[in-house]
Amino acid sequence: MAVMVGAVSAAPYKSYIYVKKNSGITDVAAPTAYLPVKVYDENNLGVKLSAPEDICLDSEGNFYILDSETGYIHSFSPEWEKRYSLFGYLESGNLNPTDLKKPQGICVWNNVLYVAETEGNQIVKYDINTKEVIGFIKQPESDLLGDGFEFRPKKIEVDSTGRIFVVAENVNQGLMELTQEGAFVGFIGSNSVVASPFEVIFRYFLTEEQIENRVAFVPVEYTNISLDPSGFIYAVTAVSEVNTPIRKLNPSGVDILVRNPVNGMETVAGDIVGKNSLDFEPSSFVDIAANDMGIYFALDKKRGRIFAYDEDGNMLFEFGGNNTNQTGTFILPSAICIVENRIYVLDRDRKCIVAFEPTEYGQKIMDATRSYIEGNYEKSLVQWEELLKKNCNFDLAYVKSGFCLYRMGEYKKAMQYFELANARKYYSKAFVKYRKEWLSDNFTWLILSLVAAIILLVVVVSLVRRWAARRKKFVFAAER
Amino acid sequence: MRWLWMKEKESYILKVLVHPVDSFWEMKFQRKSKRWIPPLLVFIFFLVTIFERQFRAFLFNDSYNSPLDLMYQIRIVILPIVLFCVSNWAVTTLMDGKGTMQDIFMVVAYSLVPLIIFKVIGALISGAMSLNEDLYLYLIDGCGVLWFAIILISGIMTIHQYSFKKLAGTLLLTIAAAAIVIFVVLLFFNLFSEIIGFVYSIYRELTLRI
Repeated sequence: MAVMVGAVSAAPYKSYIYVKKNSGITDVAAPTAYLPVKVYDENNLGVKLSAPEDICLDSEGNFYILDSETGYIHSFSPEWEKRYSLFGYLESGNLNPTDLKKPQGICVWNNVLYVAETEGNQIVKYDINTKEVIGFIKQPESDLLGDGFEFRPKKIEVDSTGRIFVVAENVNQGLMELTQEGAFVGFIGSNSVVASPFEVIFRYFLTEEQIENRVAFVPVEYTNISLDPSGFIYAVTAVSEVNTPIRKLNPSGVDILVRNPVNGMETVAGDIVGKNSLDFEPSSFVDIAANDMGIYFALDKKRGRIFAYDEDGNMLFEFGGNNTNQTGTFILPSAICIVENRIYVLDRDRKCIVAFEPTEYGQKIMDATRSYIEGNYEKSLVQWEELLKKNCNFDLAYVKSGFCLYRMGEYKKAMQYFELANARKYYSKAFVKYRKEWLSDNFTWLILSLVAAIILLVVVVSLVRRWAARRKKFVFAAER
Repeated sequence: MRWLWMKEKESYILKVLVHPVDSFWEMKFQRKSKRWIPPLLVFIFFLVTIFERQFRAFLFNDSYNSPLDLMYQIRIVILPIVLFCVSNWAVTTLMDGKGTMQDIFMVVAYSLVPLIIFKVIGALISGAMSLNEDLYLYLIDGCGVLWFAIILISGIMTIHQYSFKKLAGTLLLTIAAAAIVIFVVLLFFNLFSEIIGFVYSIYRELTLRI
């Protein structure tokens, strides 16, 4: 424990959490949830990294690191021992391999490593066992793609059925979906364009030329995608004008991310405090990773922060920072991946991979979430209550404690927790249950007291009337 | 409407609820009002707003758990009443209104009676309601406000001997007058604080130099 405290104070960044107050949503300091434990760079990896761009895992837990400058893909064992490096491909008639030209994304599916080679306008497939190139996906042909279309794949993911999803440069219709053979299926998850009312009115007064000179209204491109263990695509955009920079796409491309946090913000967008001020710079996400509990970690390039949200869009914690020379902060973060409870973040500028591990606080959040999802409400309740001892500003912990009590049938206690978190919607639900329980418990007494009250009323009224009549008579008599 | 413990003049507190025009007529022109009742009603209303703030159920109370600020409460309850009386009097004296300041205050105070009743009822039953039944609570609140408005309007019409059209005009002017009063008061305070600041700085300068 003493070691832990020392480690917490050594965190090179300050964590915060959003809290709903009467004056609105504000951020307050929170305990650090994750701490950097190890840095992997050329000193302990055994390979020279010049611009680590993407990371992925195969089914055995081996790591693959893509170096976008040299075009090498380095493979490491789960313990970060070097296995081998892949590079280039042999073109027919050539003796020396051709280097990959600025590849930016990799992924492994079914023992095949897919590399999105941006400048080479193709996707290269390697067999990770034989280390041989087994195929290419060249520029797809389709009427949808237009005449001048140049295939510049940037990021790539393959789902369990073998559908290939590609984020390509200069494509703003969404993700490109390809088959294993390289045939173009269509775009999914396209961004819709929303013009502000002000812009619409403003445009009305502009001439054609002026409109042409203004910034064009085009849907934004996705920056990165990743698949969660259940096969949904998490996609992020780095552009600031988007209200929903983080999305969760179902197989047909509809955004199904739940944005219903307990504090009523209805946004999942990283840093939001001060959102309405002019010099506010929103988070710019470069990568995202999700775990099996539906918790996702979004990596923000702007401030080097990692935001963790649960499946309802509640911000669980935030950690990381940028532009200091301390371990745990980044200059140009490029990718994130989760392995069990470890989080790896690649820094392209520092040429390293930083491993984070949860503190006691962070681990407790994970455990409490897991036991709640598993339906183990007694255990979850204890864990959330312990979290409240560490962070009394954690609205979600109050609400989740309330949920646990609600599921356990302790509505009165649940109401107290919901009241503490100012969660009226849930308070009302617990209250309805509690009222029902109370009514059925006290029904006999309620009816009896009602009857008694009516009888009492009738008696009192008749007494008063009699008294009044007598008084009137008396008054009449006196007047006479 | 006359209950046993009420003498004739006090009974107007309840009579006003059902016969506002008659009641105000009798109170003004037959001198059937008591001087201490209007201030008492306003005071009761003030207490009731505090009661509502403190005891309305969590689900329907935005200021739940926040500390009570008495000055703020006075500012949002007493000040509007005073402002209305002053600006309405200022407008209606210029427009042949028959009512005096005392009459206007009487009307305002008596028209608070339904608000008092419905606020207490609302606060009491809100504890038994969930968010699904909020409609009934808003219905009760709305009834109180509507009744208040009816009594206020008919009362103002009666004491000034106005037609409805003229009343509407004067009410609009009252709002304008209230805005002007607020503006002038703020301006006055601002200037006054600047004068104080000026005098204070001269004083400081003198004490530092001498």
